[in-house]
Amino acid sequence: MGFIHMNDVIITDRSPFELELSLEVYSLETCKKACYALMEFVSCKISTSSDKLLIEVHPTPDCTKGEEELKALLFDELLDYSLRETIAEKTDSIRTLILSNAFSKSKLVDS
Amino acid sequence: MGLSNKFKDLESYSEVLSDGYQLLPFAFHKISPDKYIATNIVGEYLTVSRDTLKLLVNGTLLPSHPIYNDAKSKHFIMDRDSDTALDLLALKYRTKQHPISEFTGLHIFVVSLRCDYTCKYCQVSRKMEDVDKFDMSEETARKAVALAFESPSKSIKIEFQGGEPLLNFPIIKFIVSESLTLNIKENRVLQFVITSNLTFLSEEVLAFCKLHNIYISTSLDGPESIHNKNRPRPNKDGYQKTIDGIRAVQSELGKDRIAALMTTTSESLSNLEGIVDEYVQNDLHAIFLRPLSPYGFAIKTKQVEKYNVDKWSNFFKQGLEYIIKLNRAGYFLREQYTSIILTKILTPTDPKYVDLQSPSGIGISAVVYNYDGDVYASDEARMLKEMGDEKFKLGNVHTDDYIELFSSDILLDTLEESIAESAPMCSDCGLITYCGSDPVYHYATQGDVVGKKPLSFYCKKNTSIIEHIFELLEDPGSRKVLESWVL
Ligand code: SF4
Repeated sequence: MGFIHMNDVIITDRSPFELELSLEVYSLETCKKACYALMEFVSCKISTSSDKLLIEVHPTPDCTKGEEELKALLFDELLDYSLRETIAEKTDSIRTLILSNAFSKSKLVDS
Repeated sequence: MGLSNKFKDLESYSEVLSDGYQLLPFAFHKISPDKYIATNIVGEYLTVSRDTLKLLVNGTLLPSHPIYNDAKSKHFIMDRDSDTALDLLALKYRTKQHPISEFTGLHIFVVSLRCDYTCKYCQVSRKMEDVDKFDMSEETARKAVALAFESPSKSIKIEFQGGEPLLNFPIIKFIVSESLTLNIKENRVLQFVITSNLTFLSEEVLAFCKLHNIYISTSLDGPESIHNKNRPRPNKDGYQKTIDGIRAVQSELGKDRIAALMTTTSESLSNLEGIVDEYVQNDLHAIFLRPLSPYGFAIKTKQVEKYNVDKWSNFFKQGLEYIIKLNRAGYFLREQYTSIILTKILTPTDPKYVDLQSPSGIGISAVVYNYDGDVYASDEARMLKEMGDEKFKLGNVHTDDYIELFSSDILLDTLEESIAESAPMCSDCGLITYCGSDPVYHYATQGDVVGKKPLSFYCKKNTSIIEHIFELLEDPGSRKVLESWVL
């Protein structure tokens, strides 16, 4: 995978590639979100087996990025989405508390 | 069961608070590999490095860290000293959500589809002579005004649009008079705007506008060559007529009674400074750098495809840079889209701009009464209708009452789907509090009201503008100018 130079025209090799991740590190949800965010460049087939996540990455026909660049983008997104997941887990119940306080004078919330 | 039954109370957090801090809900957005913007539900923001973000999330940010106090005062964390943090956050959140309960404030009356121009990007205009077919009647107008006053909004803004609305000036006078009569009892804050190309701006029109404090909005696409190319009139005198009209309004009604809008076409992209200078030369103090909308003739004539989002973003950024430079040199000129976003970033208020709201502003912030009595959820919705798609038609003033129109399945279902907080990608986006959703746009371009945001012009446009605004806010000189644009 990479760039093929033909008569000074750069053609990106768009062969599919695979990534294997540990489910202990990234959740399936995180993985789905990271792939979704990159749909402009890749379409992904995601599967799981015991403690592993397998992503089959297919660059889109218009994608001009090479495999290494795509992997780096995917890992960045994975890290960001897992950090977001941590925030959601740590703030889930307090978010409900805030919303409840915010609307406590409306009829939306039981007193 | 209400929300209050579903969670732990404040006591349960005391253990965490005695030894560290409790994280409060927030989202983040990567601006560059080591620069992140973290934002929370009340629109406060922090600029942080990736390492700091990790410390913050992992609960290991020390009180001695330079951003600790900021994170605390802006409600990203609370510790044992933050006894009122949650109440304050809830109060700010409720204030921010308040505009939704106000419901429709902007009522657009399409009083005529006829127009003397043949603009290549126009979606709706019809030939001059078709008076009976494309003008609003008194009966339709009366029913539409009555509906507008059924809205619970304390402020009602009635905007006359076309085609060219001044081609049906008698009905404008009728609507103003009907509204004023109804308002004797209703006592709303009532405002009128005429969106016009100014060709038919007579002394009678000016006197009427002066009497009723009517605001004028017009289109000025730039210098003569661009304006006339984008907006052709049979006599090729559109530019001159617009400029004459702007001057007449300024001298008769006052400089603050007129604003102009521009639409970016492929011709505009290389003429940025000339376009902005045109506004300065005409003593205009607000400009709205708008991309071409994807509806109607704009699609048919392939105007939309002629420039892509990167080209448009560059145009916008260069425009902003030039406008800021002019401000710093002493000429006050506000870019409107930036103003709306800045107001969201720097104040607790929301300017209720239809395209930057979640749930979407369609039907909630604005509604359109077409010349024939059809009611649409937004201006774009009626443009879509002109392309043959009535998806966002709510009903007709002659056959439906207020409840039927505003609780129609199409409006309620679209509003529900337009809640960005539950849309893929938006739900995790750190810019969500400044952005919104545009279901009609996504339906028109992607065939789906939610839209795939990674492929959306709307998303890319807003991302690049908001990121750029944050960059500008870091520069003290630009910040001073931007702060003066807050609405
Ligand atoms: S449209 Fe894009 S920028 Fe706006 S909230 Fe959604 S993901 Fe964020």
